[in-house]
Amino acid sequence: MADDPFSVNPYFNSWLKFQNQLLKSQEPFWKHMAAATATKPAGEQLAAAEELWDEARKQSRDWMKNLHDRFQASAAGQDGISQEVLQRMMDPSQFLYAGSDEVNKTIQKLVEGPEFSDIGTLERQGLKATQEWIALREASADYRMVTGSAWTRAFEKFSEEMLGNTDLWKQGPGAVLNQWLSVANDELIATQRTQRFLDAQRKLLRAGINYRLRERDLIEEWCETHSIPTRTEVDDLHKTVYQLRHEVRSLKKQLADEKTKKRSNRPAPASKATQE
Amino acid sequence: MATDETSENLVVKEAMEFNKKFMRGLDALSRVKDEDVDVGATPKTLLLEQDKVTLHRYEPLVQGEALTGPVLIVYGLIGRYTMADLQEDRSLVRNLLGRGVDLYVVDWGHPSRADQHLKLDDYIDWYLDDCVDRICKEAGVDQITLLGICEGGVFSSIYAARHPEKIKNLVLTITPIDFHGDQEDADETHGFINLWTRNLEDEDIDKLIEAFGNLPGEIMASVFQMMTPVRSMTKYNLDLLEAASDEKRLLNFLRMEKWLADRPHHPGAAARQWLIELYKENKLIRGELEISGEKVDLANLTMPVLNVYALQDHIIPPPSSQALEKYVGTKDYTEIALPGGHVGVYVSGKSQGIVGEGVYDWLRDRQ
Repeated sequence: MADDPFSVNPYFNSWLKFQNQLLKSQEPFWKHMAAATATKPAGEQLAAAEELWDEARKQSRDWMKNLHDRFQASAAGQDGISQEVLQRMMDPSQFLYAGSDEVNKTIQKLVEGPEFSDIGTLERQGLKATQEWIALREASADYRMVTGSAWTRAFEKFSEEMLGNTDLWKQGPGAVLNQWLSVANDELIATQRTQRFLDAQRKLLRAGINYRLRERDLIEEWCETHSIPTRTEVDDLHKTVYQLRHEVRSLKKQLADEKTKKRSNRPAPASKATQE
Repeated sequence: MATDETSENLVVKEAMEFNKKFMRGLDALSRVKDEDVDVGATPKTLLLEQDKVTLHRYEPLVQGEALTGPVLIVYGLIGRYTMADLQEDRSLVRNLLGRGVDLYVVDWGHPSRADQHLKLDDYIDWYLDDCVDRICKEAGVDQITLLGICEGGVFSSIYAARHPEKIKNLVLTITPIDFHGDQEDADETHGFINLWTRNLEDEDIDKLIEAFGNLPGEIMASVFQMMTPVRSMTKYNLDLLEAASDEKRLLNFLRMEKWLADRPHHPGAAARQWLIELYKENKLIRGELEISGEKVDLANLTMPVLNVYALQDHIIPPPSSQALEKYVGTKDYTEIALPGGHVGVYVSGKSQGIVGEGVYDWLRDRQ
């Protein structure tokens, strides 16, 4: 029993088992995706991506429950705070959304922005059926595929390392967690430099911006109908003000330079001795 | 089963320690007030205010006449100048003031969509030029020293190349000069921004700026976070817990976070030049960058130049800074290579003395 790393501690045992289940459950999906990405209609591809994340989240919840029960049994008397934080840190779904997904989240946040309930509601609803919206969802799914594959590779490497190093288990959860974070970091950094990642991110950025610009067009149409100044009109105004500021600054400089010139050309005042 | 029991004990022990840290952290965080997390707090006096740009003169920290001529700190538009004055014991500003340097700082403020048309030309030939003139008037001199940081180092280099008669010395820190220098850096954790930007089409950058008016601070912040993916994920739980076990460390952590969160938008027109003409096309070292309709020639940097860079800088890879030596027109060129990363030059306890002393000694020899 002691040689079996799976038996060393209860919650890493659960975690590893979960990760293996996750990998196993993903296997047909990745195979399916690899074979079909190029030819699948967009709707099916999105549905497949959603399915993967739903499954990951569901398994994560199951795993958390399992971990919680084990923790209660092995560390009775804890007030639950440390359990909660530890569980969160080791929750794979947290990992799936971490690090490289920052740009994805930022783009989504910037694109969605605040929605005013009574302004352009119909137009906004209409946006959800546009090519731009579909392209954004596709780009987001594609990006998550690339990041998700990176995490899977990281986990495979981590599992191999852990199976080959039973001593690390004995150093406690902190040591194992640090090892996982180190492997994950290396894998993510390597992934970020691949052309597939860079292209997926560029596609996501482009889709986010196109969606935002399309949204602006629709809102501006609404504004014009209601005689409200549009973003484009305000931007034009900013340009005019900028050009005027420039001219004022140049004129001020010119005036100051001329004054300095005049002062330096003026003959020096005669000294008292000469006057006398 | 003995191993199992030992591991069980270890788990419980670690969980208890974790719990203790968590409670201590909660307690420490509940006592922190907003004013405790003060950055850029060294006293200074306003000298010039123009649009969103302000120029300040720092109050001297030592009695008597300043031991150097005026030095202007020029930060970039990505992040804020407060990095150089993060806290009392980690402040290049205080390090230099403490040695009798006559110190000034320009703050570009927080550009809004109304500032989207401002170009690098405006920041360099307009605002920075006005700051230099104002300092010359204030100090009664014809020349000053520029101390540029990161993008501010590029502004300073371009300004000094365009107006060499007004610049006595040029000090650059963590400054990109060769924007393709990352290709000479073997460390794969370095230079991701260079790679990321080169992979964008010009049209992507144009549209990004068209959509938001400016380059949103949030985009730059998330690209920076991508460079240390796991660190970004752990810092608000594991790292914060570690920091929270000690009040001083907690305040350091929070000050750093405050600085990181203060990421202004980069004016759109200037961002286009920054990303397309510099990051993508590398026009500065090619002598093709035009400012106010004239090409910038780095060979005009005939004043003494000090170039400080960080050996583990993942944002500005060392070769990108070191390239400057090949292009300057002065023989008085000095480099200081520091251990540590980009921000570490300013905030790490280790580099505090080295940077302050290095810059001061170099300046003192050139008065």
